[in-house]
Amino acid sequence: MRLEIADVQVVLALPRADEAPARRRYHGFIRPGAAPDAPPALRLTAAPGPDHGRGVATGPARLVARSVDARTIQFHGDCRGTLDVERGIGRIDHGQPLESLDALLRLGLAAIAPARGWLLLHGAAIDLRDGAGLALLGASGAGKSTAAATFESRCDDLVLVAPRRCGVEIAGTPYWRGRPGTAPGSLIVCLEKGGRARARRLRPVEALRAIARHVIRFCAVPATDALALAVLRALASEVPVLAVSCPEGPEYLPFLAGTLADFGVFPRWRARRSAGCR
Amino acid sequence: MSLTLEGRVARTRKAAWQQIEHEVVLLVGEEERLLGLNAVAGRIWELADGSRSVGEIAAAIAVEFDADPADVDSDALAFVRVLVGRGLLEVREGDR
Repeated sequence: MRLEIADVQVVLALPRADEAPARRRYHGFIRPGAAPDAPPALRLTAAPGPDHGRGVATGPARLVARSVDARTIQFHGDCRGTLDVERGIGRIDHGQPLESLDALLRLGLAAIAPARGWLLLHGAAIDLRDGAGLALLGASGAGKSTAAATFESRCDDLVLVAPRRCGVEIAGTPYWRGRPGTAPGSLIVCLEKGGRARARRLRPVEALRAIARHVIRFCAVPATDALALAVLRALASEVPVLAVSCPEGPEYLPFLAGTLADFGVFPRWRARRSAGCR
Repeated sequence: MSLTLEGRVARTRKAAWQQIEHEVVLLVGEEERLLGLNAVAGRIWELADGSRSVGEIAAAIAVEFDADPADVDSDALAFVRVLVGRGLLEVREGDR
């Protein structure tokens, strides 16, 4: 099965019995037809482990990762396996194949994205009225999902962001109602919890630190870290980054929408507006 | 090995780094954190490429920042010792 996430080509190999649920899981990101000549960035394999077929996984597999050398990540937890970051080859040797592969895909995307100029960030991709996108970054409970449920959005948990000349490119990922495709963006917003409601534009070095808090990173891999920091620096230097502390409750969405409007950014509201509480 | 002004120091691969807005930012992988170095500390970091001794780095800093060389010698040596202790810099032996 071949996926395309942003411009990252991924080949998944999993037991036949898991292919149908995988097709539902990655619907929209699956690319039909023969693989292109160029090798995929990620080739992930889930071998049927001893617990395959026993019970039903109820959520994404938890994994604990550690780097064993400059390019290899080993992980354990709900599943076991390895990922060669340099070659983009990962393998699950034990665990529920689909849920384990899903976790490995997340790990693999995070690990190889910097080499392709992207960062995998904890954030939502919000659609704007002019066709552009907005990267809305924040920790759990910061209000990303509320915003993503209220405005048209490409994803509301994990988003890929890449620096581009005078802006960024924002791509959806197949997590939490994510849909494929990219959009240009001209602003990154970091939602902050607590404090008085306010928005301020960050200096580049502050922006770098603010975005860094939302980078998905499972463990230290020297080569990946150096590339990730270079992408972070480019993001922080090339595009305005706002730190926004929003009020909670019904005032949240009006405050966020008003703040964005102050910076000339207008999200597309969904046809049916939500209650706006979080 | 005790570090003196004659010792040459070089950055290890333990931290990735970038310069932004006159500040050097280090991503220390194993510590899961970003460290910010001010202008002087960042310049010491940049110059620690294995080709210079701590004394030579301090001399360059004293000129660039118009500071008392004796003060810079002791401050630079203390700072480099901290970074060596954290594994971010290493002492190089032998001739250049």
